[in-house]
Formats: sequence, C-alpha cells, structure tokens
Amino acid sequence: MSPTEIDAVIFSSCSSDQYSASIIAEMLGIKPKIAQRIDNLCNSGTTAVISGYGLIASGLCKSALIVGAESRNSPGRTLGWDVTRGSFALPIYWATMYARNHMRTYGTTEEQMAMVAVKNRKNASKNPNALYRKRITVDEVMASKRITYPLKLLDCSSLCTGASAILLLSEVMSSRRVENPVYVTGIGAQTNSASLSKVMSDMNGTGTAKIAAKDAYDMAKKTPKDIDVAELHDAFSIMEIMAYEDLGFVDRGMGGRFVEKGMVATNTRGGILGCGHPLGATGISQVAEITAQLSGDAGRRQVKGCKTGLVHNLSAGGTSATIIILGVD
Amino acid sequence: MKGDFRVPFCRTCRDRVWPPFERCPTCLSKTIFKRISRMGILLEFSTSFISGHAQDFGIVDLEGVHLLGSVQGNNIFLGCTVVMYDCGVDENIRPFYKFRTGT
Repeated sequence: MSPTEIDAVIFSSCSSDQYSASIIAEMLGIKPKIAQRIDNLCNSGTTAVISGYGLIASGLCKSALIVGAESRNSPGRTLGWDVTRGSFALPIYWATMYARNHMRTYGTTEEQMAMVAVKNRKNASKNPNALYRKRITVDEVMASKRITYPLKLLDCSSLCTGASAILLLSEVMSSRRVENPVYVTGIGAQTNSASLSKVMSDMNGTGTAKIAAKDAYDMAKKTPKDIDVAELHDAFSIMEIMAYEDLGFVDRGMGGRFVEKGMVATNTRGGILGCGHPLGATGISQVAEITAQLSGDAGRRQVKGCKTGLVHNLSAGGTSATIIILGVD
Repeated sequence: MKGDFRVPFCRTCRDRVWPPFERCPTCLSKTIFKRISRMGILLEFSTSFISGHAQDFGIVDLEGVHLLGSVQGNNIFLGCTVVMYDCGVDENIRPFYKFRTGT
C-alpha cells in the first residue's frame, strides 16, 4: 500500500509535542485528509482506534494510520489536575486501594496477584518486542521489593519509551488487499469522570469498563463466553483480576480464582506487565496483538483456533475505559 | 504552605462541587468556598513504603467529599472516624491532606 493512499493519520500520545500528527505524516510521505492527535492518558491508543473507526465508518476516509508513541518521562505519568489524590498522586496508590478492597471483600490473595505477573511475564518471554522477557516465579514476585501493602515491584508495570502502529482499512479496501482480514466488530467506551474522587465511592470493580463492555458485546452480538483471547489492562496485577470480573468472564469476586484456571487466553503478548507501558502506544499494541492472534500471525504465542478477541484499556484509575472486540467474521 | 480546607458550593443550586471548580457543573453558576466538617470516615486504607518508611494512607469521606490522604493513629480500621488535622500545598505544588484517627 502506498503512503498516498492513506486518508488519515491519528497520533496517540500524552506528550506535549506540537502538531505531531502532521509532523508524522510529513516524515512518512503522507498527505492525509485528516491529521489529529489523541490524548486520553492510558487509553489514548484505543481512543485513537475508535476515532479511526469513526472516520472510516462515516465515509470520510477509507484508511487510517494509527500511531502511538510515548517517552518514559511523559507528562502522562500523573494527572496534576486531580487535587482529590492529594500527595498520593502516583497510580500505585489507587491500585493499592483497589487491591486492599478486593482482598478484604473477596478474599483475593497476594499469591493470586503474583500469578498474574508470572503468567504475563511467561507470555512476554515469547514476544521479541516485550520489555521484560525473563520468566519469573511466584516466589520471586512475593520476594520483590514491597512498594505498598499488598503490591510488590513485580506486581507493577513500568513506564517506558515505546511505539506501535496499526493500519485501519474500510471493509471494501481490506477485501482487495488483505488475505486474512480482522474486523472491528464491537466498540464500547465510557468516561465517568477525570478525578479519582468519583471512583473512590465504589471500589468494587471498574464502573466504566462494565458499561463499555456491555456496549461492545451488544454491538458485536457476542457474550463473554465467545471471547477466545483478550488483552487486558494489567498496569498492576490486581487490575487484570478485576478485568476478569468487569468483562463478565467470572462473577464478581471470583477473579482471583480465575487466574488459577486460565479459561481465556489473556495478555498473550505479555500484557503491560511484560511489555511495559508507553502510555499512548499501549492500546494500539493491544489491538495489534489481538489482530495478530486472529489472523494466525502470532508465532510462538499463537492461540489455536481463536476467532474472537477483546481489548480492555483503562485510564486514570478506571475513570474511563475502552473495550474493542475484533473478529474474523 | 499551610492550607485552610474549604469546598466550593454553587451560589444558585447550593450543590457541593468536588473536585473544586469556579463554576457549578449542573447550572454553571459561580461557586463560593465554604468550610465543611473536618471529621470524616475512612473508606479504605493501606500502607505505603515508597518514602522509605511505612506510611498509612487511605480514602476519606468528608460529608461526601472523597480524597486521598495520610492517616495517623494506633487503631486504624475500616469505617473509623478520622479528623483532618493539617492540609496545604507541598514543595512540588501538590496539595496534601493529613488525617488522624479519633474525634
């Protein structure tokens, strides 16, 4: 495909760089109809995918290049505007509150959280693009540096410099050019607030993800039982356990036990725990992984026979969420 | 910098506006800052080791205003009464809220 055939360039990043989508377009020899940047903190990437989908679905564009990039010291690390966090501005503090609530309410254990990190690092060991490719054990997670109670160093993802890109095409365009096309079949997105104060009153799950998941399932005419492979927003190990519940894979409170059974292939690229968290690039990497899985291009980490996949991407303690369902038919 | 904890209320519909903003998100009228009770309920808590020593922190409900702050006291438990004994803005221009257990 020639750069001249790309109608839109959408850049996902929390950086403060000016006019960046247009700069990327010029550097790649593209003269798009539409060039825009998306910043929505940690779910910028999937928000950019939704924007590209919308441009194509409306007929304004036939193709959209979605690029995500972030540097390790991105200003998206914290949300300075949110004074309700006080001096506890770092994401690990709200993750700790979620973890303590889950342990207290449902009996989730530190070992179950550690198992999420172990699984995702095992998956990352098969991904040449992952930041952390060394496998770890539950004992190593439990013995890693305690950051808060109950979260240890290996329960936490790392901010990093990284980039990802995908090309979205209209159905007509893809039928002519792609051998095994993967389709966006369902989208759900929800923003309930920007401040953590609105989340603090109910720590039993992520309200935005539950709403977004229902919308995405309805649009795709799928149920949680149809999902063969999922990329979940595991910025902290507890977030993956909560995602199992928010997405309907298990009943509320059963997430800790779900990780022990592994009934759905999750975070096959290694997740955020294994791949690192270049904020604006993460959601696009998640979509790229599900696309690779569904088209049979995932190499050593290929899930056999998968037909339907899901992406779960959150921002700022779950104040906003995006769910995207992809399929091969 | 030592602070004085006040919360904006809408001049027209009298709703509390939190996080603070100069306009009411419901009717867009101007807001006015008022003091509220500094006594609240601890909704969740845990311990941070980031600063090199154990520091308890948690979510506090002050008459419906939810915020994260440090918590001091010998008997910290879910649902216990806490009092904001200090607040302000630190050297990084971040607000801070300090609570202790008791009334």
